[in-house]
Formats: sequence, C-alpha cells, structure tokens
Amino acid sequence: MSPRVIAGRYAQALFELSLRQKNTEQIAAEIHALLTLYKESRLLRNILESPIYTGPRKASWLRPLLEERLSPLLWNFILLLIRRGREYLLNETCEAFIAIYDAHKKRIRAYLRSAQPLPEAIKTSLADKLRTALGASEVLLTEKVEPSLIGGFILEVGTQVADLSVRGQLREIQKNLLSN
Amino acid sequence: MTSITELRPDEVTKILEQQLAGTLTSKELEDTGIVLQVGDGIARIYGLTEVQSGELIEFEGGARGIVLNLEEDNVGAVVMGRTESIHEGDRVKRLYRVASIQVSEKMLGRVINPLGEPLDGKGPIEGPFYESPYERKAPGVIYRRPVNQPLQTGIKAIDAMIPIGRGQRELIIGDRSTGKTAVAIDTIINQRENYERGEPVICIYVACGQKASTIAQIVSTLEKYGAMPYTIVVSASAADPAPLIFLAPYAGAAIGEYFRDTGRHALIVYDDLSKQAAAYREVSLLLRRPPGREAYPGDIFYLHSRLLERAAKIIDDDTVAARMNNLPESFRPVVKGGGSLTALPIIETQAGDVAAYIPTNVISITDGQIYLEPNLFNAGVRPAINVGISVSRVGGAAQIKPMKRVAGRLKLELAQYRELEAFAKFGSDLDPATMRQIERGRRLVELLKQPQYQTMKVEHQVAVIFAGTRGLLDKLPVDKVRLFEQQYIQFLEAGHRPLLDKIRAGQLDEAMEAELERAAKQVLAGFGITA
Repeated sequence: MSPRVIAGRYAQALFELSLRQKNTEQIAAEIHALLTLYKESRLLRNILESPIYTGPRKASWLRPLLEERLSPLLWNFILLLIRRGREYLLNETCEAFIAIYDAHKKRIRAYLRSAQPLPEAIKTSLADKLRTALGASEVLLTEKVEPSLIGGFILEVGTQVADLSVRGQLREIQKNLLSN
Repeated sequence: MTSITELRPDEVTKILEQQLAGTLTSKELEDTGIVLQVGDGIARIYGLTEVQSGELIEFEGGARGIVLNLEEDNVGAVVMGRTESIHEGDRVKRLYRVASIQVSEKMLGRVINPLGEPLDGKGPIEGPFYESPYERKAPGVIYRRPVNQPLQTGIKAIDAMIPIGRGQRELIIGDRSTGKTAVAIDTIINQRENYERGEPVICIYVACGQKASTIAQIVSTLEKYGAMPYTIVVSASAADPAPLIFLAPYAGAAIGEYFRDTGRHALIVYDDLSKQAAAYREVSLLLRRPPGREAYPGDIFYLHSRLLERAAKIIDDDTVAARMNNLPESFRPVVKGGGSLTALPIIETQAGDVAAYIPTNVISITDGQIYLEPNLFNAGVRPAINVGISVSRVGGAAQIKPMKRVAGRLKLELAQYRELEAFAKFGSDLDPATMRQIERGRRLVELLKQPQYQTMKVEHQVAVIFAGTRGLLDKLPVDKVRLFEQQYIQFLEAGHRPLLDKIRAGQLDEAMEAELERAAKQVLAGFGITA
C-alpha cells in the first residue's frame, strides 16, 4: 500500500478519537508544533526514519522529549506508530491529520504566488471570493513572491490551479500562435 | 500562397488580436496534476482528481497524453510523442475531451502518424476536419446488415475460394516473409479499378511497428501502381514509442469509421497486430498491470476484439444509420447509410505456430483467415495460400454468381488432389482415375499462381478457373498453363468482350459456358492440343 494511504488511515483514527475526547483543537495545535519540530530537527528525523534503531529504543529517546509536552492521546498515538513500525510515516500522518481537520472545519488552504507582494485589500477580497465560491468557512492563504511570473498571480487550492500570471498567458499565446 | 510583402501591418494586428482573443479572458480554477515520475513513455501523475479514463491531458511543455490508469493516489498516463520535454514536478492540465483524431478527406494520398500529423513533407493537411475518437464503441446490431457485396482482392485463389465481403474481417496469418503484406498490398492496388470508376473503396494501410524503410517501400509501391490517390497510410514505425504503435490501429479505425459512416466503402489493413499486441504489453507492464499468459495483460483479447468489431457493413437506411450508437457529434451532418469498413488484420506467427496466444485470439475474432505457408512459398506457389485451412465464414454470400458456379468445384478438386499428392511420388503404379485427379490438381495449382502486383479482373478469373475446373487443360503440359492463361485472356478480350461484361454483371448460363469452352479450345489448338 502506498505511504499516503497508510498515513491517511492512522490520521483518520487519531482524528475520530480526538473528536470523541473533544480535544481536536488542542491535538491540531500540537500536531502543527510537532510538524515544525520535525521539519527543523534533522536529528529527530534521522532517529524516526532510521531502520537501524529498534522501536523500544526510539520510544525511550522520545519519552523525555515529548511525553510531558504532548497530550496523552497524541503521545500514545506516537507510541502506537512506533509499535507498528510506522514511525517513519509521522510526517505524512501529521499532514494527513491536518487535511482531515481542515476538511472538518471547512477550512481551505490556498497557495498564492505573485510577481510582487500583493496589498492586504486584494488578498482579503481574493480570500472572500474563494470562500464563497468553494463554500468554505475559512480560507488560509499562504503567499510567496515569485518575480519570474512577471506579473499577475497563480492561485492554487489543492490540485486546482488558476493561472493568471503574465508568464502563463505568454505561454498560452505562444502555444496558440504555434498551433495555427 | 500570398507573399510576405502583401501583408499589411494592420492586418497582422487584426489577425493576432483574433487569435489571442480567447487567451486573455478570466479564468476558473482548473483541475491539474503534478508529474511524479516519467519514463519509457509513461507518466505517473499526482492530482487530476476528476480526470476520466481515456481523457486527453496536456503537459507543461505541450506534450499530450492519454489517461489509462486511475489508481488510489495517482494517475497513470501514456505520453504521445517524446517524453524528453516532460520533467518531474511539471504541471499537467486536463483537456476535457477523449483522445481523438481529426479526419479530413484531404488525408487521401498522405502518410500520417497516429496523431494525424503528416509525415510525407507535403505540407499540412487541410480541412474541413471531423473529430473521430480513437476509442469508439462498434455499431450495434440494428445498425448493421449482413455482408452482401464482394471486395475483390484481384487474387485468384482468394476471390475464388476465400471470398471477402465488404464489412468482413479476414485475417491474413503466416510466418515471416510468406507474402502477408503482399496479399494486402495487392488488394489495395486492385481497388484502383473502383476508384477510376468513381466508386472508390478507400484504403487505409496501418503500419504498426515496422521498419521505416519497409513503410517507405510500401508507399512508393502504392504510388507506382497508382494506388495512393485513394489510400491513407498511418505509420508508426519501430522507432516510435510503444504508445504510438499501440494507438496506430485505433487511429486507422477512427479514420475508416468516418468513411464508413458517410456511406462510403473503406478497407483497412492492420500490418501487423502481433506487433501492436507486443507494444500494448510493453505499455501495460510499465503501467504495472498484472501480466497473464505470455506476459500479455488480461485485456489483450478485448484490445483486438473491440478494434475489429468496428469493421462493419452499415444498414442502407439513412434515418436508421443517423441514429447509430456513439456517433461522434461532428459526423452528424454528414452521416449516411450503406457504408462499410472491411478489415484485413495481419498476424505473424513464429514457426507456423497458429496455436500461440495472439493468433488464436485473432482467429476467433475474425470472420475467417488466409493462411500463408513458407513451404508453399518456397515451392514457388505464390501467393502461398494453404487453401485447406484458409476459410471465409461470411464472404460466400458476397461472391458474384458466375464465380460461385465455377469455383465450387475448385475447392473440392484441390482437396482431393492434396489427399492423393502423397501417392504422386509412386508415379506410374497408380490407376488412371487417380492419375487424372493428380494431373488436374497440378494444373489447378499452377493456375492459381499469380505474380505480385498483377491483380486480375473478376471476369478474367472466372474464365480462367472455368477452363481449369472443366478439365480443358488436362492435356496441356503443366509448364504451359501460365502461357495459356495469358493468351486465353487476350483472346477473350479481343473477341468476346460482351461475354466478359455479362460475367462481370453476374450472369453465367450454359450458352455462355459453351462460348467460354469454344474460346478455350481455340487457344489450346495454338498449343497443338485438339480434343
């Protein structure tokens, strides 16, 4: 089975459990922190992803670091991952959890690339439009400035893309001219 | 063509403005994907969550692909054309339509690739274009009618004993270099007569995984014998990627369907389907579909059956034909009944093994097979058709009456001859009746020999076979049979043209037979034979 699918199953289980315990909000916040930690600490990644160390050793290393700082549900969940030999999927599982949580909250993450930094007003109106168009309750906009776009912007929501950049339009013009 | 000096600047602006009008409008969110992996003509794509199987997709560099696999977390697609311009991480767009080819009447006389692009350097193909999908469901039962018109191949042995009707699927099977392609090419060349009469049978030759030099040779042969004006060559040579090779027969069928559904007659040659099966196996294995017998995928039978089902004779009624299932939108204004698509698939066997996987599959799909044998070929019997195991299951209904009448005995006599042939080695120890049978058989075999590219009109075939089966040649030395045939035809053409015309029109009675017999005897007298 593909890692994405496995991670999805674990994340779904964690999410449902947190719903029942009514602490989804907290778990989500902890998972965000965990993801940042995971991305920034190479040592942590190495320990979790290495097949050389046994499960119990990994658990004993993580215990002083995480046990106190995480809610019991999440800590037990990490222990479960280690016991089942899926700790190398921690990153994917966390991302899958966030996706499930976002879907539950009807929250949409959009990715905005623009040639120049966009004014706040445009961004909020863009977010508003997206929210009504996609029926979401909240739109989280991540933005990135990419001068290579020349002008305009590219908006990505998951695999959906709207290319309104000058670069994209030039490419299309080139294609149209070549095909005729 | 207008020269560049005649072009005014304001015109340029206007034309460009027109072309760009569609580009700069507002956009909606598009369903896209990201290339995860690319290689061997296959791309795996993440995303494209809404894409349908068989849909066309476009990569960032402009290359196109067809979606074949929809998996849990990725999409498998074959890339048409080169994969060099595609990189990992590239965006992929949906084109919201199934893969199809743009068919045009101007394709006649051209050599194209399976995407419909010209390969012969004669400039772009002109429209109007009709969009015809590569994958289309074959016409249903109520839109068809049984085969009733002959498709003359111009080859005596085939037209007499294994007749092919329009709308039939007749397999040409045999080892390498036994003359499979020659049979098909002769059939195409023989359609020139129809073309000149203004009732063309449009021929489509699909070269599938062949050497580019072989394809070039075939094209020049067709040109030499004046067959190109009514022929389209779809070429996917051995140098083309596997997806293009496996797509080529579908491209040919899509073109043939346009002519079939507009009330015309078309003939399509798939040369050859064993290479297409191998190309499909390659694609399937790369897409990680499970291999089955001989490592072919499970749907290899369906690959060929759905292709060959598209060969059909369409009902004459225009109103019924207009309601045909899965008719492409662009065909609607031009659809007509009464058309046909005849298919001549070719299969290459290994060392005469017709019981291999692909040969048995295609034998069971088609309406008969023409079996070519290396032994006969080497013994100088050309075309090397083994008439014992070659059959045509539906073509008999389409044979013209005179041919049916004279050829009925031919098959029987040849069968008896084959049985007795083994004894022929004992020579004089045989009784006279057996000897007579053997001598007759030898002459008939000689009579059915025919050089390549020398197709024969049906009335000539009838006259010649009549002379053979009537036993008029029994006293003629075997090595004189070919010479007799020539002189006999010349003699008939010179003095008995009305008789030939009547035969062509489908008549043959006893008086006419007597006239044929008299003519034959007159020619035989020239060889010193009187009886």
